[in-house]
Amino acid sequence: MIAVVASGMHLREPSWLVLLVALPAIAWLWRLQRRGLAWSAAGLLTGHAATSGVAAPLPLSARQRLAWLPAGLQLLALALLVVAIARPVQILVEPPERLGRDVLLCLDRSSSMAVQDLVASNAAVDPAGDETRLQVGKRLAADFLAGRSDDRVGIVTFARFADLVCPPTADRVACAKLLAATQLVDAEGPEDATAIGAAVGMAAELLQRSQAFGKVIVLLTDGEENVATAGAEDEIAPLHAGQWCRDHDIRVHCIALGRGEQMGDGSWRALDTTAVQQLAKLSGGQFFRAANERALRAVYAQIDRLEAVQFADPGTRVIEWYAVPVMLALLALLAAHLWRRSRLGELR
Amino acid sequence: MNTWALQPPPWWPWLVVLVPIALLLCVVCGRRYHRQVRAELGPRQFALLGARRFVVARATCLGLAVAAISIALLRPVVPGREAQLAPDVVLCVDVSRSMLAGDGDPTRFASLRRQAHGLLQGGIGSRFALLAFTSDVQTIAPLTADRDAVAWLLDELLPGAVLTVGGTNVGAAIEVGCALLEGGATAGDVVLLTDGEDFEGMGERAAMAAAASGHRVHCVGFGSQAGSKIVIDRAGEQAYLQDASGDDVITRLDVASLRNVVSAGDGTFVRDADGDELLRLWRDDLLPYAAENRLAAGEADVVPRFGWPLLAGLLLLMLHLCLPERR
Repeated sequence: MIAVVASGMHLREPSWLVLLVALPAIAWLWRLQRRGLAWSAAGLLTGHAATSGVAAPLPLSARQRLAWLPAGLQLLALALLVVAIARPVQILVEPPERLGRDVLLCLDRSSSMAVQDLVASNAAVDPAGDETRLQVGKRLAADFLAGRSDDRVGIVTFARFADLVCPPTADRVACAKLLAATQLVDAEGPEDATAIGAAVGMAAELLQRSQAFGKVIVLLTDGEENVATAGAEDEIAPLHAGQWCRDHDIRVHCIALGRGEQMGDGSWRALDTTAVQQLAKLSGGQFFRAANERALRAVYAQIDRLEAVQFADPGTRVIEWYAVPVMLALLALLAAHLWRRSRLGELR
Repeated sequence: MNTWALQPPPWWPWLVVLVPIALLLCVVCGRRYHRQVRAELGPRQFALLGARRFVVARATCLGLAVAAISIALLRPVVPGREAQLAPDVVLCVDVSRSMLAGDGDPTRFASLRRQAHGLLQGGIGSRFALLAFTSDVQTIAPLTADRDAVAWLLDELLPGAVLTVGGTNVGAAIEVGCALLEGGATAGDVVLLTDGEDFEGMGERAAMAAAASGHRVHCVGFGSQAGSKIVIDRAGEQAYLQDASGDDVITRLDVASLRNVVSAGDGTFVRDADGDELLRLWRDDLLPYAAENRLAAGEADVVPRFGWPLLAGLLLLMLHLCLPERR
C-alpha cells in the first residue's frame, strides 16, 4: 500500500478558526463604547461628537482618518493568534524508514563441527584451509550479521542443550565478540549431541516477543536431530519447532554444512536432512546445502537477498509555524498601543 | 508518568530579552502619554475625559496574556510514546566469591538476583545490558529490549562459575559498561550491583570518565558493614572460605568507597534492604532523568501542547481589549 502524502503548508486543527466569529463581536462592542463616548463631554474633546451626526460634519484630520488603525491592528493581532492556535504546519516528505528484522543465528557446536572438510577440490581458491566447520561457520556468520545493518541480531548455540549467547541487539560489535567466544563441546561428553528442535524452539520463544517487522532464524548445522527421538517425548522435535514458528510468523532458513558424517574408515555418510527441510518448508523459509566455504558464503548472500530490506510508507516531518503569526500578533499589539499613546493616536 | 518539557526554539533568548523590554516600553509610553495629555488639557478638561476604569484588571489580563503567549512560544510538549523515554541501563553483577557471604537473604548474591529480577520485570521500556565482573569483566548480554532474555541470562550467573579469577575491579566494570552503552549509541546508566571492596581502586576515575561521557554510575550495595564469612562447598561439605594463613575470611560492605564512586559518577547509592531498592531507583531517579533529557533533546516523539497556553493568552487578551479604559 502506498500512502499518499500531501506536502506543503496546512492548518492542522482548522476547527479552531471558529474563534474568528468573536472578532466582529469585539468590534461591535468597541463601537458601542465609542458611541457612548460621543454623547459625553469627552466626545467634544476627542472629536467624536463631530463625527456622530449630532452637529454638522467637520472636515476630518489625518489623525481622525487613521483613527481606525489601532483597533484594526488589535483585531489583526487577535486573528493571527486564532490562526496560530489552528496550528499552521509545513509537511515535508521524508525518505521512507528502513524496516528492520530480528535475526537469530542458531549455531551447532557439537563435536562434529570440528571436522575440517570445508575445502574445495581446488584448495587455492577456497580460503577455508585447515579451519574447522565451526570456525568457518563463525567467521562467515559474523560477516553476515555485520551486514544486517537495519536488523537486531542475536545468537543461540546448541549441542545437547540450547544456550542463549546473545539476545537480539542492535550492538553488532558486541554480538560478534560473543559469537567469536563460542567453543565446541567436548567430544563424547554429556553435551555432545544435536538438539535442532530445542535450539529452534528457544530462538522462536525469543522472537515471539519481538515487535520487529520480520522475524528470522538462520540455522547452521552439520548434523541430524538425535535428541528428540522416538522415545524422548519431552524434547522438541524439529517438526514441532517448525509448526510453532509458522504459527508465530517466524521464518527459518536451514543450512546443512559439510559433506556429511565422517565414518571410521574415512568415508562420508550423507546427512538425512529430511527434518530440517521440513522445518524450513513449514516455517516459510528455505533449505540450503553448503559443502565448502564458497558455497556457505553464497548461501548467506542468498539469505541476504531473501531477507532484503523493506521500506515503510513514506514518512513525513512536520514543522510547526505557529510562532510566526504569534510574533506578528505581538508586534501588531505593540504597534497599536504605541500608536494610541503617541501624538498620532486619538485622545482616550 | 506526567512528563512535560519545553523544547525552546533557538531564538528563545531574544524572547526573554525583548518581551520585558516591550512591556516596559508600553508602560513608559502610557505614563508619558497621560502626563502630556494632562499637561496640555489642564486638570478640568482632563477630568472631563472621565476616570480611568479597570486599570488593575486590564494590566493583569495583559500581563498574564503575554506570559501565556510566551510559554506557548517556548514549545511545551508531552511525550507521544512514554516507553521511548525509558533509560538504557547496564547491570554490572559482582560475581566474586564475597557475594556468597551469608549477610543477605540468604546470601548477598541471592538478594542481588531478587533485586535485578524486580527491575527486569518492572523496568518497562528500558533496554538492559548485563555484564559480570570480578577482577575481570565479561559481557553477558549487550543492550537489548528483551528483558526476559536478560533475566534468563542472569539466572545462569553464579559467583565462581562464570569468572574464576577472584577480586573485584569496579573500574573495569564501569569502563565495559560505558562501552556497551556507546555500542548502543546512547547515554545511559551503569548500575553496579556489588558489595564494594574495590581492590583495584580504579572505580572513582572510571566513574568520572563515565560522567564526562554523559553516563551516570549508580550502585546498590549488598551485605553489611559488620561483615560476614563466606560459605563455600569443600569436598561436599559446607565450610568457610579461609585465607592463606588459615583464618576465616570476613567480607564487609564498603559503603564509603562505593559512595565515592557514585559521587564521581553523578549517580545514586542505595543499600539492599527490602528487595526493591533497585526498581525504586529506576523509577524515581533513572526514569525521570532520562525522560527529561530525551524530551528536551528532541530525541522522543512528542505531542505539542502550545495550543492551551496560546488559547489562554488569546482569551485574556480579548478580555483586556474589551474592558473600557474610561467611564
